[in-house]
This record gives sequence, structure tokens and C-alpha cells, in this order.
Amino acid sequence: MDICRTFTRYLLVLAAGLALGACAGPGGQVSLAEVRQFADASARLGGYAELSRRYRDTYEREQPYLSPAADRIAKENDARRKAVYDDFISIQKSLVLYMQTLSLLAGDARYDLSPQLDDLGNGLKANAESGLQQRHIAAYTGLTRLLTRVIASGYQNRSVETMVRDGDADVQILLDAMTALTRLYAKTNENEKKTILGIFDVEIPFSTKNSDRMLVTLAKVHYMSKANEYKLIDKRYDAAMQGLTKVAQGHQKMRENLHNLTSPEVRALLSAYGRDLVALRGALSDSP
Amino acid sequence: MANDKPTPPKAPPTPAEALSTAKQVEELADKLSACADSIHERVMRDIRQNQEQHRGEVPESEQAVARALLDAEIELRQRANRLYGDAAACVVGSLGQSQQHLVALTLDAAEKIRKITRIGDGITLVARLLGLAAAAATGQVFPILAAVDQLKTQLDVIAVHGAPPAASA
Repeated sequence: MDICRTFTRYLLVLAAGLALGACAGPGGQVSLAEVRQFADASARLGGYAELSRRYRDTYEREQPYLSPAADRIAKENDARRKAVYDDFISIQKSLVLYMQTLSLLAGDARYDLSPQLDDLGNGLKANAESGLQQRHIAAYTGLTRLLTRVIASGYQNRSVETMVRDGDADVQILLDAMTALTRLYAKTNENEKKTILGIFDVEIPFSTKNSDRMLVTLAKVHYMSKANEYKLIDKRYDAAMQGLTKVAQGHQKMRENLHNLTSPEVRALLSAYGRDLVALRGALSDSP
Repeated sequence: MANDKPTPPKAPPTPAEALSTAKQVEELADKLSACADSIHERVMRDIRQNQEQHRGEVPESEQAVARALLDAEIELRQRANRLYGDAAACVVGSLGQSQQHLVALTLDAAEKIRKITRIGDGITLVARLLGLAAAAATGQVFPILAAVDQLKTQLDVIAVHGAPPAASA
């Protein structure tokens, strides 16, 4: 009985320790609400997945506008994009899981994250065509290993502090990769836009016959709607890249202030990042 | 020159090399996209000029030239997107240092396209540029070098041909 009670007490203490993280700093008020808020906002930041899908589906949109010669190259490009799509998505999944786990560590709720972890288990193909550089793959593997340890151990002996410390390098590398990929998506989209709109630029002035009038009208309507579509999508690339930068900066600030996460300045900083991310998420969730 | 250390083509790239190669591939794709932009601007300028000269009508022959160049422009964009894909997939080719050279050449080509007096004169140049873009996609050194030579020759020809651009109407 006694042993049991002692053990229970020990568990309670441990649970409290976990809930509060390692931030039970000397005398300071203990709250990791801002860490949780930031991690939640990071995990929910949209954009990347949707823009990855859009990148994958480039050919579907541009195909009707292509000459046979351009179509041949476009088809090859399409196959290549589809081959690496899963890997592009895997990076994001691991990052989201990391942020969810971090949020849990910073809070007091308990959820079972192992299904997500299994999902990640499939992992990256890690071959020459895999779409990622070795350092990205290493970062992905490192982060997955860290998450496995944290989740499998039932969060024991893990705190926000250690997780951020152990995870930061890999988190930064993966965010780096996602930013680079988003930039390449945007540039690919730019060529798609100029291909589609460019055809109308050239062909509309050539259609001057009376019998062309209906065609020209339809072409102009189509042009306007396409131009509008691209204008909206361009904003999303910007917002997505801004979001990734904010996540990277926020996480870096946590890394720099590991033993200081409860100080008013750090909390204010993190909560500002969190708010920015929520705002960006709003911008990204408006349908195009 | 002397301190240029040639990268062995078959050695597996270090992470840092892989990164710089991806960046260079992206840069080359940027330049090809910029060339496509130049072509488009030139075509549009010619169309407007023709419209002014022919009461809104563009003569059939000029239309054919414009369409041929538009096709080339679009093909160039596909080539550029291929390279963006390569950069994204970081399929590391054996281009290495020659990439710098390629970038410089395409930059030169874009400049020439902007300056050519009659866009029709640019067709061969654009064709050479497409050849180079196609070769770059193979990632093999010999076709690239051949394409580079052809483009260089073409750029020289145009430099002589279009030397005093101010004189022509």
C-alpha cells in the first residue's frame, strides 16, 4: 500500500514535471502556453501541401495549350514530378508530427500519436530520384527517430527543452528544403502562367475577321479568369514561404532561449510568431 | 583559371556540392525563363508595330513568324520547368563548373534577343538556344559543349549583323 502510494505520488510529480516541461525555471512563473500556441500554429500552417499538389498537377492544367513538341517535354516533366511527389509530402508530415508532439509536451493533454508515426514509417525512398538531398533525408530520418523515441517513451524524461534542443537542426534543414521546393513550385507556376496567357497575347490580335468576334470574346473572358486565378495563386506562394520562414525563426528563437522559455520577452516573441502564423493560415485557407 | 579544380564527373556529391548544384540548375532555369520572357516581349512589340503599320492587321507572314517564336518560347519554358524539376529532385548531373558558363551564355542570348531589330532574325538564335536547353537537360557534357559552341557562333553572327541598331527603322 505504502509503496503504491509512494509510486503514485512519484507519478504525479513526474506528470507535473512533464506538463510543465523543463521550464520550471528558477522562481519564474511557469507557462508554456506560447510554445503550445506556436507549435499548434506551425502544425496547422497550410499551403505547402496544397502547393505541392498543384505542382504535381501542372501538366493537367497546361496540356490543352501545348504544341506537340512542347507536349513531349511536358509529359516527361509530368512523370518526373509525380515520381517525387510523395517525398515532398513526407517532409511536411514529419514536421507536422514534430510540431504536434511539441505542442503536446508543452500542454497537459495526452493523445496517441503512434498512428501518425506509422504513417511516417514508410519514409522516403532515398534513392537518386527521391527528390531530396542527402542532408534532407538525414534530417528527416533524424527527426523521425527523435519522434519515435519521444512518443514510444510516453513522453517520459522528455521535455520541451530537450525536444527543441535535439530537434532544431533537423527542423531547420527540413524547413529549408520546404522553402526551396516552394520557390521552385512558384517558378514552375510562373512559366505555366506565361505559357497559357502568352498564347492569348499573341493570338487575340491575329483574330480580326468579323467571323472571329465570338471567338475573341470567349478568349478574352477565358484570359481574364485565368489571369485572376494566377493572381490569387501567386499570393499563396508568398504566404506559404513567409509561413515557413516564421516557423523557422520561431523555432530558432526557442532553441536560443532554451532555459528562458518562460521569460516575458520570449513569450511575447513566440506569441507574435504564433499570431503571424494564424494570420498567414487564414490567407492560405481562402480557396483560390 | 589555374585554381579551378575540376569536379570529377562520377564522384558522388557531398551535401554542400549537391546544394550548390541544385542552386546552379535553378539559376540556369531562371535564365532560360528570362530568355522566354525576352522572346515574348519581342514578339509582342513586333505585333504592335505591325498593327500600327497595317491598320490593325498583322500580315500572314508576320503571324507565322510570331507563332514559330511563340512555340519556341513555350518549349523553352518547358525546358526551364524541366530544370526546376531537376533542381527540386536534385538529380545531380555532371555539369559542375560549366554551369557558370552556360548561365553567362544564356544571359548574353537574352540580351541579343532584346536588341535584334527584326524579330525574324532571332529565329536561328532562338533555335540554338533551344538546342542548348535540350542538351542541358541531358546532363551530358558532349552535347552541351556542342550546343554551347553553336550558340556562341550564332551570338557572334548577330553581333556583326545587328551592330548599328540605331540606324534601322
